[in-house]
Amino acid sequence: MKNQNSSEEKRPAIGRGLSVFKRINVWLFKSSSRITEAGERKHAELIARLTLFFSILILTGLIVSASRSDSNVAATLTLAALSVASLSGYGISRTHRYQVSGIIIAGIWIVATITYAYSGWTTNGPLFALVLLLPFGFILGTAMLSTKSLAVIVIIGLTSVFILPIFYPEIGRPIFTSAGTLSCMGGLALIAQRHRDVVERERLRELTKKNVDLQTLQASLELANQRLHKDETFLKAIINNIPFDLWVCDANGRYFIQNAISLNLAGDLTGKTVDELDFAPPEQLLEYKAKHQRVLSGETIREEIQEMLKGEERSLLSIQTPVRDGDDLLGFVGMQIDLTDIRRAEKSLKESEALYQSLVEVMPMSVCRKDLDGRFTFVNKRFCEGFNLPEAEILGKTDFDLHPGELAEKYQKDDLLVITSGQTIEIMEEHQPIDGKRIHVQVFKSPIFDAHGQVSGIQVVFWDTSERVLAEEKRNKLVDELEAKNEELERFTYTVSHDLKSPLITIGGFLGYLEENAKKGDTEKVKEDIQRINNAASKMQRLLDELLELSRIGRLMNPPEEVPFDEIVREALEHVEGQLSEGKIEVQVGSDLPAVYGDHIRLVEVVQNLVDNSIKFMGNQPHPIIRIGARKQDGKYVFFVKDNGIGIEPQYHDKIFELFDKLDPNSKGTGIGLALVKRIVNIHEGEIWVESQGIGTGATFNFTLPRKPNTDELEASNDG
Amino acid sequence: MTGEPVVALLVEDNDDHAELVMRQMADHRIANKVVRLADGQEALDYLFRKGIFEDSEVSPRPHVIFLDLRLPKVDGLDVLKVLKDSDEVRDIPVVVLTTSEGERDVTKAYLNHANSYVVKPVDYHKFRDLMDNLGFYWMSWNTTIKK
Repeated sequence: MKNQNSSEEKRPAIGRGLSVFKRINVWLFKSSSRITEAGERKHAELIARLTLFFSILILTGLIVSASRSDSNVAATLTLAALSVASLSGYGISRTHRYQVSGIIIAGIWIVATITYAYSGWTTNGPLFALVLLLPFGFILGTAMLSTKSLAVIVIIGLTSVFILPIFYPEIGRPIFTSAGTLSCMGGLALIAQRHRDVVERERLRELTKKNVDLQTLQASLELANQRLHKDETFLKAIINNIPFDLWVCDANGRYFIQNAISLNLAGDLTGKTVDELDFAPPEQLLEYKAKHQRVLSGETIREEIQEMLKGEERSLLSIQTPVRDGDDLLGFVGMQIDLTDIRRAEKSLKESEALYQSLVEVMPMSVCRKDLDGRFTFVNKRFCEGFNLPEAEILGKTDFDLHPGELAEKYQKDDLLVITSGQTIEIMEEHQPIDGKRIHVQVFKSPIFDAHGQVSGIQVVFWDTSERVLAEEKRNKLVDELEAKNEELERFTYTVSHDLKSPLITIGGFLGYLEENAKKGDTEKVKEDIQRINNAASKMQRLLDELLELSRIGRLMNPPEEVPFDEIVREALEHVEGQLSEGKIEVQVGSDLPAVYGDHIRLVEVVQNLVDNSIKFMGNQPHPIIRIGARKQDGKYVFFVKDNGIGIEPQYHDKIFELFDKLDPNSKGTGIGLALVKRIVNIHEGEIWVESQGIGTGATFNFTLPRKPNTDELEASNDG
Repeated sequence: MTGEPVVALLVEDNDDHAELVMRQMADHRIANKVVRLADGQEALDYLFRKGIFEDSEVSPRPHVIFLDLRLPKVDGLDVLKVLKDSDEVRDIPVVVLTTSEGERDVTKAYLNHANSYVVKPVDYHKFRDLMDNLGFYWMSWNTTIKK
């Protein structure tokens, strides 16, 4: 009951007019709680109305019978009501079984009514039918009604059959009949109700089943919902955590999703269109708008842009692309990925590449790197040019592939030094590609360290210093020459001042004596004095002439020419022919004399002076011989003038070439001859030296002279 | 001045100059004896008594040496160096008597312990006065080690 009450409360929609019957129903059939659907309700109302209708009908029959004491009218009315009730029982039954039973019962009642009416309402036919049917109603009632309903029916039936006729015997038969009928009718109503219960139970079963299905559905929906919720949270988190500016607009261009970065950069734009924005300058917003329109027309925009973000110019990869569901454009998603750091890194990479380019490729130096096995791992352009090989043909090779063996060995040794010491070394060395020109280079060799601080290779930087080396050599030579010249000049000045002054002193001194002797009248002495003065004057004259001659050498030179040496010898001998024949001196000239290159006239002077010198110091040699020739020494020709005269002691070998130096003060000449010879030879970049074992051994004057430049080189390389 | 002959050694390659010096010395009676040698080698031979000068009678120790710088065979400065390096003759005063006024010569001479450096004048009168003073100073006034 409690459940029914609560159910009742839940369904106040049932009409108030029905409440009495409903309560009867409830009380009788405990079924109102199941009257849930509108159809069921109508059904229930119909039953209730029919019950009322028949109850009134029967009651009216009873009242009419009682007032007129005519049981026939009441019986007839009751029979008619019962027929209709049976038919309506058929009408409201849904199950085939009850419909059949309803028709049978109705049929019986109709037959009974007709039979009763035909008999003139006097026979006991209907009673007979009722007695027959009463058990049938009981059977049905027992089978399908609740015990409470059954009890009511039984009490009503028994009361009308047994108790009422006692008090009202005159109307016993119709009343008896009516009460029995009423019991049957109740049974029929109950049948209908019972039938309805069954239907409801079935419906309930169906509903319960549906309910369970619904609950299952609900549970799975809830689960799906939870999952959806979870997915949504996750999706939101993803969008929010995307590490670049991201937003989504709907098909109207209205912002509706922004991630955290977008919010931070542009503020909350949700619900706005580009026309309502104000976070950027108007011209930029116009640009935005144009792009939005393009994207909304289905285009995907992908471009790199420069934009000021929070006061800093940034490089952004901007992508805006439509979002579609099938053919429907839902909106578009936009994103801006900040590439500034990448672009900066690229820029600094480019800069460092440019730096590398300018350092390694532009500088006029060859650069290479080698691994620990001496194989080239890197070479710059200039290095390749030096070998006239492409980079690919150099990488992987070693010095032994590129240089003559002895140089490669040297390089290898130096590399090893750098690798073992870990120190940078600076070297001046020679460099030569195989079949290439040998040059002088300055080299820096440094170790290359790997990440662990271990030497992993070697870096070599070198550049051509040939010109510098040559220039240095030239300079050194010039300095030497200059120093020699200075020294010579100093000696010259000294000599000149001394030797030119000497005759002056003589002249001055003897002029004094001349004066005194003249006073004294000592004519002998006067003569002697004058003689001395004369001699001194002519000596001075000679000295000055020779000095002039000496100074001309070097200043007044004839252009160099190639002259056969024997021609020079012949010309020189012609000049001293007289002296030679006078001293009965034999001259032997060697054969196969080479040609020399220089000032023809001066070279004749050299030979002439040397022969002259030999003649002067022949001493009392009984078989004076002078040999003139040339010999090969160290790939060069050495010319010589050799005599068998008095010879020169070793300590004087240098002194004899000095200006005005004479070993023998009594010898003829001023002592300029050998100085002159030395000067001419030196100017021709030759050397002169004397060989002699000392007094009585004779002397050999050796000298070198240049050959014509080209032939010189050829000759030297052939000899070498 | 003790009766021992006063010897002056003149090392001079130029005959004319030697003649001039010796005449002056004779005129001024500076020395009893003037020995003239024509080159550096001869001078060294004399002083160290070698060759023809072996006999000390032939080569008496000079009171003073007049040394020209520009000499054949052995240069005057080299002679000076050898003399001043020698214990034997280091004490003998050496007067460099030369035509050279060159600074280098003067320096080298003094650095080699020359006792005096005199340049020959061209003028006859000056030459005469020089030789007079020179002779008087070195032969008379100057005192040397007695041997």
